[in-house]
Amino acid sequence: MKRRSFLKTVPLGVAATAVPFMLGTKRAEALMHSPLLDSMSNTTRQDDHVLVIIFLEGGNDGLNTVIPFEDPLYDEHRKHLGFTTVQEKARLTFKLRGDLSMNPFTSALEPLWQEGKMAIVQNVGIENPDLSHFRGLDIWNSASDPDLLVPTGWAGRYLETLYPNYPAILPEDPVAINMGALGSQIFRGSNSMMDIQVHDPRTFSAAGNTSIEPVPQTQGGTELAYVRSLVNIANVYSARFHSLFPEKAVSNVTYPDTPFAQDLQRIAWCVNAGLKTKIYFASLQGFDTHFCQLSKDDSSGAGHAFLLRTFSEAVYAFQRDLEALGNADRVVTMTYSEFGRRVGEIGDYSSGTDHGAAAPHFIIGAKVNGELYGRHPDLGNLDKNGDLVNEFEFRRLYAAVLADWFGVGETLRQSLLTPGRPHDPFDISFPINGSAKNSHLIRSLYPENENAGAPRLMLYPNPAAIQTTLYLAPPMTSSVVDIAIFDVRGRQVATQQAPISQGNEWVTLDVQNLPNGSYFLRIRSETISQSLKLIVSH
Amino acid sequence: MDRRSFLRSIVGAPHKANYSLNSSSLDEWVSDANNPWDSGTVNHIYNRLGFGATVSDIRSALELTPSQLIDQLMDDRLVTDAMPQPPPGYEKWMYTPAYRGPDYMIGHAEDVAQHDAKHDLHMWWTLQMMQSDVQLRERLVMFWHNHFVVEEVKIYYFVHEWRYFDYLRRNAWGNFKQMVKDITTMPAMLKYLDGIWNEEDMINENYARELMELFTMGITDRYGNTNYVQDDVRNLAHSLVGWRFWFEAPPPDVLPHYFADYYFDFNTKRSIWGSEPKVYGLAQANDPRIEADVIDLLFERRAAAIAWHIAKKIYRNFIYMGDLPDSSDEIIQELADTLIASNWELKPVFLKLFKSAHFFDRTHRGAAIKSPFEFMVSLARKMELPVSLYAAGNFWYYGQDIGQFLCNPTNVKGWEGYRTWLNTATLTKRIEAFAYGLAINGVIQGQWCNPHTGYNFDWIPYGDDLVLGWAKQFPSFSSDVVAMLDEMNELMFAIPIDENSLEQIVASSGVVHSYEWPAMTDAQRILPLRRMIFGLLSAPEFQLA
Repeated sequence: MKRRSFLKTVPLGVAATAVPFMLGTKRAEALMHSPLLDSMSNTTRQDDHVLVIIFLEGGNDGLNTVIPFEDPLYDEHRKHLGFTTVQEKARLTFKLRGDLSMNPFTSALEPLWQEGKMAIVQNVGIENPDLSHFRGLDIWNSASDPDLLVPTGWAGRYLETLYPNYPAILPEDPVAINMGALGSQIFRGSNSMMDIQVHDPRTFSAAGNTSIEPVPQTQGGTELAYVRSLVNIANVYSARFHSLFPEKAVSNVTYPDTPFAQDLQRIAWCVNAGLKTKIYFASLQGFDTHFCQLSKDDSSGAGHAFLLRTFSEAVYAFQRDLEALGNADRVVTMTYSEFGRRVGEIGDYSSGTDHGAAAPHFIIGAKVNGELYGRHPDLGNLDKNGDLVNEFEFRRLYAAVLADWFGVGETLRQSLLTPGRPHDPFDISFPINGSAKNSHLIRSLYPENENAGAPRLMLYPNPAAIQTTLYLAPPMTSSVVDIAIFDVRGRQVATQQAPISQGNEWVTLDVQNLPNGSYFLRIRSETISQSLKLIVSH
Repeated sequence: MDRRSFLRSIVGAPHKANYSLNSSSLDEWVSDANNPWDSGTVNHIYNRLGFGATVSDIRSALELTPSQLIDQLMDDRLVTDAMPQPPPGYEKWMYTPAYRGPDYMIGHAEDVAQHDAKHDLHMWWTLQMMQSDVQLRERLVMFWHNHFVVEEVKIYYFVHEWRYFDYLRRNAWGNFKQMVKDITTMPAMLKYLDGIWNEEDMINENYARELMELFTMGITDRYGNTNYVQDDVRNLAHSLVGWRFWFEAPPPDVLPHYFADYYFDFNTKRSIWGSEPKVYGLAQANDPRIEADVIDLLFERRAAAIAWHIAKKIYRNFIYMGDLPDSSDEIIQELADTLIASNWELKPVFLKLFKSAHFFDRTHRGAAIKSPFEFMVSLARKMELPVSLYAAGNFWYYGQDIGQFLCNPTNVKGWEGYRTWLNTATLTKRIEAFAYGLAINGVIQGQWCNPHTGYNFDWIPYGDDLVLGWAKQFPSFSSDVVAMLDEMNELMFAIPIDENSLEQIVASSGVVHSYEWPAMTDAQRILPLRRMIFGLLSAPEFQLA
């Protein structure tokens, strides 16, 4: 008999099994009898929002990124690495507020901060962190409780709700694109990886023929099926890329000459080419600065200052590129890293830092509420290892992005972000600058996430060309909603009935057969009787 | 199509796809009518314990018993008397100051010297991987490199790197506990995981943490119990304080390490893994103030966890990296018990596993995904490419391109391997650079810059004479194109390509009617042959081992 006292293993099919568990009984029965596709496709908002995830690999030193330079404890803990002298503090001109400054090597981001396009969330971390890179990364990727071993990634589970038959049925565009040579577990779904790796969309090529003969019923056969499916994916998407590139590989700004900037540039091409890809992934390596951290000097072409500059200049160019080509309103970029670093530096001349805990993270974009969130890092109240204590559980960032950017309702959101074990709902609003005033990180299109008094019903997009989604804000008891569409003369042109419940608060309406013009929607259920105006414009 | 074995065993029957699964054990494998000692079995040995079998490997292996073949691959002379000659230029690197340091004098001359020397190591190692008689040794060098990871870009000095790889080669099937002791103070590791910066008043936890998490016991044991807490990391780091190495030492001494006692705290007794508090350190310091050896303590307090962790790593690396059935736990435990019973000698564990019915179980055939180097080297070996020393640098170049930067694993945990090797980007590059480059373009292009010539690495040609020479060793070459392709099928793949796909390859080769083949001249056969080779090398089956 196996004891599993510490790390519990959760089976691969975690997303699929977690969903019925979270829902009411009737819903659960329905899910068990039909593929996830059928149940979920109605619940997903159809929009063109794109998320770019940037992984700072190795554990970014938060205290050398957002610097509490007025705090005497900072000077004490960071005697060598810190900006401690008068001259060094004079270099800290990119101030977030009176006593917090960004590292001078992030100065490329200053215009974005001033334009209100950069949110900084302080003190984000894992509860009871183990200081291992690999556990840290596993937990950030899987969005699990730290004592659970969950093989799937949160982005993979989310994308799987949109494309439950992937890769058996491939959508026209890749679901997610990873610019790295190696995969990230963040995209692992219960059946397969949900991303594809694209080094360069201009040269992405096919991978040959596959057989349709059955594979042997062995472990070898399992792996053969895997390779065949990869060949199929490569063939399908190489045809797609060939239809778009190199013509769509256009940039209106000059990017820095770094591999990381090049990755972001290629993401911008894909976005601009109109790919319906939801999530892009890029990573920057080298943040594991035990030694030779070089926090104040980038001249050697290595170390933390150099990495911050590489990151900042590339992200700035990317944002300006999106703006120049009119794509800025539909892209949000977020960072993550396995942990921050130890508050106290290592000794006298090693000039590095050990693995730590909480750290600041960035969310950048035209639709971002650019503020500093959370309080000044509390250097006087460290945990037993000498690390910063969390203010925000890391999954709150994911919850905020899922809610505000992808419009995922609370029930689904919770089930995506709590694999294997229920958890209290993650708060998706954050205190601005340590004050009592809260805000969402992203200016949401979705009324659930607006402040009190927001409309209870919403239609998006509107005007609509092909389809539009009706959003019915919770709380709702499970019921059936009747929707009727009338033209300006009062003639009923379409009707639709849909079951709605917690976590399933959307109805997608097909409008592509309606002539251009204004319409009224009449929405009726046990608790609602309302009308909305809809404009159809093809 | 009637599949006959051209590499027929003198004892076995022709191989047939027979996938009846045994609930196999670690008992020694014995061939029978359903599971004969044949080319497929030999291929499996070379796929897993090497970088793929050639035609002549298979022919000579079938003269031996499976057990004799494994013994031959793990002959102790290969790690003692028959160690390979070091790369050319070795003496210059070892004893010229520019190649040796010192660290505080890094300048242009040193950079160039290190760069040149490291390329020679990459090229030389690649050629070692091509040699038939040292397949298992070189495969184990890769295995240990991916276990006791160091990254060349951080250790920087070639001499440290050379010494590290030389040690792994000599200890490929040595004593695991001794390896942990030796590697703990090896300059390459002292530098890679910051041991040289670990001092009493600035404890650096890097090596201590990875020593436990990755190199020995893992975070948890078989049953999910935590093996250590943060205090153990801290106290272990204290006990490893003070190890340094000389940058300069007279030949033939190779940059020895030493214990700098002035960094060490002899006044504090510390408990690790719940032990009695003592001044723990390394016995090799030979300092009477150190009361007990911390590596001995580690292997004493956490023997079961270490043995489980290492046995599982060996099992996953050589048997299967995918989801394991629960029954494999018992096999892993048996290997772990063997490791403890042998007092951490690895050879009994390897022999038990590699000769077992479980190793040869048909379900495992083709269940490994080739790493970039397994892919490239197996291709070069099976196609019998003439790879010169200066052409071998191309493998280093392309390896980086397809996800394996030789001597620089992804991170301290090593290359993750298995399905992470293959994705849409790396799969298509494998096919483009190798299958298409070699078969259709007739060359693997020389890349990057060879430090010795200032030009690119040498091209690897695949001219018409080589194509014909290779094809002519298949008995049906002149008589029957489909039979010839099936003979190639037998050589190339762990899981043979299905018949429809083979016929598809013939059809797309330009041979409209297979009955025309016998009348064709060699010159007329070249183009179809190249297309058929492309079909074989680009088949999904060629990604599997």
